[in-house]
Amino acid sequence: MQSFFYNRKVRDALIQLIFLACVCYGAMYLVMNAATNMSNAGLTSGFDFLFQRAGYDISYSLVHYDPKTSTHLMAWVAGMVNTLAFAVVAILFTTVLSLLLAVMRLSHNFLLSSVSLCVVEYMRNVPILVHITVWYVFSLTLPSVRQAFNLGDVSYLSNRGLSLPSVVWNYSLWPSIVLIVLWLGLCFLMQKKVPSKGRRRLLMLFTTVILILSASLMFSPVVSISVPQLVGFNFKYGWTLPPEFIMLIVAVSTYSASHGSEVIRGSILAVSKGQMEAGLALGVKRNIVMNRVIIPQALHSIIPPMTSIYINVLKAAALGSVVGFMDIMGTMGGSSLNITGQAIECILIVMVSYGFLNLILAAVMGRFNNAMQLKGR
Amino acid sequence: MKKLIATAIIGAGVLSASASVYAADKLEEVKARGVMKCGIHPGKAGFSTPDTKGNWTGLDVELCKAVAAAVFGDASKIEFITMNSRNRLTALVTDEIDMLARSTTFTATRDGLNGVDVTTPWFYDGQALMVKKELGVNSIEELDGATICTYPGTTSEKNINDYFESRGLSYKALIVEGSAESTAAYLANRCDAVTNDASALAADRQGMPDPSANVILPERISKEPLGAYVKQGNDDWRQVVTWTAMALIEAEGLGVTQDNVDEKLKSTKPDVIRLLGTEGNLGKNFGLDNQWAYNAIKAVGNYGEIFERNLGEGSSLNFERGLNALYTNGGLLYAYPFR
Amino acid sequence: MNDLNFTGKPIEAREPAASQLSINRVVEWVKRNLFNSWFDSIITLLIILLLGTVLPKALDWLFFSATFSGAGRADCSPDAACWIPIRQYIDYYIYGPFPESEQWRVNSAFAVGLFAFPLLFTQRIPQKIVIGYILFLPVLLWVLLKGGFIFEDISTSALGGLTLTFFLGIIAMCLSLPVSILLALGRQTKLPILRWICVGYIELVRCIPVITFLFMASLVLQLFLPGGVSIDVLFRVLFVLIFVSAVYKAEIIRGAIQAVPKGQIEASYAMGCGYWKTMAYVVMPQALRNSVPALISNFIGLFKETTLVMILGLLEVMGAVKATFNNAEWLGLHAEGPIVVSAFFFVACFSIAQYGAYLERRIRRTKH
Repeated sequence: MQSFFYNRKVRDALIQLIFLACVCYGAMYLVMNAATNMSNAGLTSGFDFLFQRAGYDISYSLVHYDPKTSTHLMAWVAGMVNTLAFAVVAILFTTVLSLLLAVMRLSHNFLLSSVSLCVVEYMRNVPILVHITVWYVFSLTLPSVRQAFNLGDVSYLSNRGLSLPSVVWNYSLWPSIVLIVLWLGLCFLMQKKVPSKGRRRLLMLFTTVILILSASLMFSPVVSISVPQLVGFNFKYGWTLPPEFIMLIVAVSTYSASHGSEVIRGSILAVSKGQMEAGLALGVKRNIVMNRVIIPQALHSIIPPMTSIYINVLKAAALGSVVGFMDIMGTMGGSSLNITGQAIECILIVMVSYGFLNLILAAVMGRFNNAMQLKGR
Repeated sequence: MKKLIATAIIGAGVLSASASVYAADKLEEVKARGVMKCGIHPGKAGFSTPDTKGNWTGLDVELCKAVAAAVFGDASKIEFITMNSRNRLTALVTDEIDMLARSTTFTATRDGLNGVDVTTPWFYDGQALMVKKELGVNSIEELDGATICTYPGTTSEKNINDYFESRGLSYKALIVEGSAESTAAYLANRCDAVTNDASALAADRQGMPDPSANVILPERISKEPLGAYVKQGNDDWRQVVTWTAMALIEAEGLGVTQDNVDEKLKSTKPDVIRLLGTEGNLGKNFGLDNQWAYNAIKAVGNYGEIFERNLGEGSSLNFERGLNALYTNGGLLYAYPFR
Repeated sequence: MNDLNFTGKPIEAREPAASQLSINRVVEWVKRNLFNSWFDSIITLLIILLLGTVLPKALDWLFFSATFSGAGRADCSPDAACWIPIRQYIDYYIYGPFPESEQWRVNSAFAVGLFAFPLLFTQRIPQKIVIGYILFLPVLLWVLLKGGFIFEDISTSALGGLTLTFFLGIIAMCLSLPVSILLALGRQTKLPILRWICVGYIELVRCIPVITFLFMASLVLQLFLPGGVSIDVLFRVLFVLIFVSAVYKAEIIRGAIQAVPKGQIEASYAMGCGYWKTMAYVVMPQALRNSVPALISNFIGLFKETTLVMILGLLEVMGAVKATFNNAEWLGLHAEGPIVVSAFFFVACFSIAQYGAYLERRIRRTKH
């Protein structure tokens, strides 16, 4: 009997089982407590509220959200889309800014590299929440709508945001569907009949252009450009990005870029100095050595830390509610939570949504990393 | 989720074999602890702000002090806990605070759904909108299509929506986390109008570089009775908070002030001596000392004094009493009889 | 120009002849580092132009035209910074509502906490004492700031301002270390269930914003506890900070453990040491020493993250600054507060970061 417990495998299995049991029991215990507490306190629970009318406005939403009819579920969707839009733009800016700051820092122009050093050190040593507040205060010093900065009569920058011209599709549904089906059919045919890749591409481009041209002749104007105009209190037409959105992106991407630029700089410097010297000795130009020798090697060690920076960027969307940017935390974890009072459900939805988005992001970056590693060898 | 919780409740019943704990009433709990925990706003001019030493002052803060004085005979046996607008009601339910005096509107939903109970209104407010004078706007109807600043998670967000919706007007909401940010956004013309309770707007206006350049529109788009909340199901405790507030209002009507309360103890007027506990057993019936109201008045003064000190002429805010005058003076303050 | 510099360091003039005038050397340096090519020259000129226009204005607003002393709002000029409220409230920002008679306790807590940094610096003191001090530090801070033992108990609502930031930062740092070591070991253990739980926990927590955990702690954690039991909001927040930052530390420590040569571990097993002995006496001492610089930068992150508790209504240094600017008298001043807070964080975090970089250089030196 004793030897049974001294058997390594048995002991390992037992330890794990006990651990698992403890974890499960702990979780059960907490859930049961919550259930009793909530019924004692007369709190409602469940996810029925998702289908009730939300009854609050979302200041900026990319999907159709109407405070008169939309449900809490729709508010969640609007928040989710806002979060995604923020993440895509902010990640893009973070990447570009990180590269820019790293290149500036590595420049042999003393002033340029000092400026980069100061910016990076300030950005990364001050909390993100302070950055967001500072940028928000700054956005308020922009001129009001009536004195907006006029950017070539098509765009305006004011404290109401950046108004850009937008493309409007005035399509009618049925002819468009017919055209798209026609186009898809043609593509399929060409895939079968035309063997040469180059000619196929050329043909495809040709048919697409013809179709678009005929479409615009048939239903002209299909596409029109809408330029922002000042009407009453606000800019109408065009596409206005609210300052909360812009400033959150600026704050988050500069903050993350300060970390990103250090990652990039570190990785470039980690590639041994001898390689640069060898390249230069062979008479290859400096920037070619950089692009062909140093950066491909540095990329391997850049991607994993950059992934965690990107994840932090996405997570920073949750801080947008401080300045009035309505991400999931602002809609579901903010206004919906307050109106329904169902804290557990709302916070749970927010956590699951963020967890889901980040796992996808991590998976995408993982695949990208794998592709890069293979190419490097 | 409901099913899960139902299963969990059954499971809990089986496992714990009816070992659930029923806490005694909050009043006993507070007395035993020897200190009262009061949830307040982290910074609202006139209602609760820290002074340079970090002591809290304001209308809401004084209500907390009065309750502490009524319970313990000592207004310093109190702990102030700052709450944001999202966690304030949950904090009551989870016993993190004993009472919430954080400019919270009394609504049926909150009373019915969130596991909390209302006490009595401490400040009658109404939601209003403030605009710049230069806009030349005289009524809310003219604000069609305007951008309006509100705070998240307050009733103001829903009120403005209801008001505009019912009149077929459109607006754009800008939801900003704090009142300082909201004011800043308004000042910078980020929004055309800012909406909040009229008192808060008046306070904000006072702090602006040129207060007279802003108008608070005459319409009140909502009723906002602000007052203290307590946790549901603690009737003794709710009575104590409710009647302490009433006692301070009654004291103003009877002319009992912080300075003359000692003389008034020897008064011959039956209302006064019943209130101050020289006669009768009002305090005992609430589970307090008979001098509970005396202690509260001694600590903070009557309602009128508190108002003047924090919002009226004693402060830089200069509020009118308006709805918050006694009913005999045309206001809404009406204490139930102390007999 | 075939210079080999790509580190961003200015290039020193080569072969400086002793006879050369120093002015020539300066000119040479300027030529090499500022006007190396026409493109370089344009950039240099642009930067000089930009700094020339922005800096004087900023300095003027911040210092020269600003109001430093006075009685109230009326003394402030509208076109420059007004530092009067900052001066009035400075004690509140540092000590929060901590009782005035007990403020020496806060001062000594600051001293005790800061002493940990030079302790990491000296090599003469054995590692055991350093680790002992770090483990003892939370207890010491607790006793000083919160009370207990011989000190009078202070209510948690009396913790605010810089005191609260410091309290949260240091205690969460020290207490998350043991948790993160266990997580790192759990992630590398051969027991599959244990490993999955650890991996799942680490990956999940990394994907979810801290602010939602903080809201969870502030809003609903109480609901999960048995009736009648209640934990102070400060401790719930501390709990979240510990268990979230432990995840990031676990990854740092895991990396350091993996860097310990496999041969050493095998040798230890061969000598008859068990798992825990090998970890405690062979792996951990090396791994911990090597992860100190990374842990210091993790601490900076944690320290900055404590500002998030402001969103819950807790008045740490940023919340305290905001609360005071809500006073009727100072409404409408909105740049001064963030500037002071960012200056504070910059000074604090920058010096810690420099210190971490120094330690890293030293560790590298001792390795080679």
